[in-house]
Amino acid sequence: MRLGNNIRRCRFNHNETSQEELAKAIGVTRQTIFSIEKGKFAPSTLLALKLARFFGKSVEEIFYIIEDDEYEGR
Amino acid sequence: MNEFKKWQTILKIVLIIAIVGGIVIGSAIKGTPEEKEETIYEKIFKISAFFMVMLALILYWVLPNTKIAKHFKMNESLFIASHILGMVCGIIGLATAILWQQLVVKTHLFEFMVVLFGFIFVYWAMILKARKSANISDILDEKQIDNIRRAATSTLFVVTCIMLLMYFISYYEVFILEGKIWFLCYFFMTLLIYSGSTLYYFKKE
Repeated sequence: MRLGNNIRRCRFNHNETSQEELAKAIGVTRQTIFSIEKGKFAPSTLLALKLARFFGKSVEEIFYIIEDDEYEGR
Repeated sequence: MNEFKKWQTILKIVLIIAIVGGIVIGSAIKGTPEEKEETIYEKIFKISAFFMVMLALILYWVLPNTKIAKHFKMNESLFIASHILGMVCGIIGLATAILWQQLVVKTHLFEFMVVLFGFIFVYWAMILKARKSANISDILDEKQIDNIRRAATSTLFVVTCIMLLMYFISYYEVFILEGKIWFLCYFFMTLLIYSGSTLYYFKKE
């Protein structure tokens, strides 16, 4: 089971916000945003809520669960 | 008293005991007949090192309480630079400690190899102190903290294995490390592997 996300799409829809701008707005490094987007790093609840608040969406709209068989099939 | 403050207090007490213990043991051992006359270079090195430590402590206690504190910044570049510097100090320290064992111990050269890293560490401590006064607890983001945790675990494992290997190499007299050099090898190796693995996890994961 993995954590998937729509951050890249959300950034694009949110005035094409760059990773750097997003990172600055929520108080993390650009590398952290990059790792979350790539699915390499699972953010804490607090950070997920900060991201959701920044985009004006719910956490579920940004993050979702990828089942193992679904992931392997990709 | 919360858990963090409790551990902070315990660490401070342990540190003070270690410093005082080190001084007392050092003074007790100093009078042995094997002791040799200090050269002028050794004296200069020791005095300079003492003043640098004093300067770092003064900076730590004074600067975070001044107006300059608001200009203290912790960002990605500083995080990366600190660890690159840690790796450089580690490589130079390890190489010199192995190649020029006697010289490094005798002249206290190793203290100067960590001085730059030491000052960056003091800068981190100053930021932490300044932010603590302003009730801002975090100076690193959660991924950086996670990277540091993983790097610390990796370092413990890797350094233990390498030191075990070095012990066997020394035991079978393939390459002998002088008695006093063990700590320096351990210290610089830890610095190198910790900084390297933190950077690796930060960039690759």
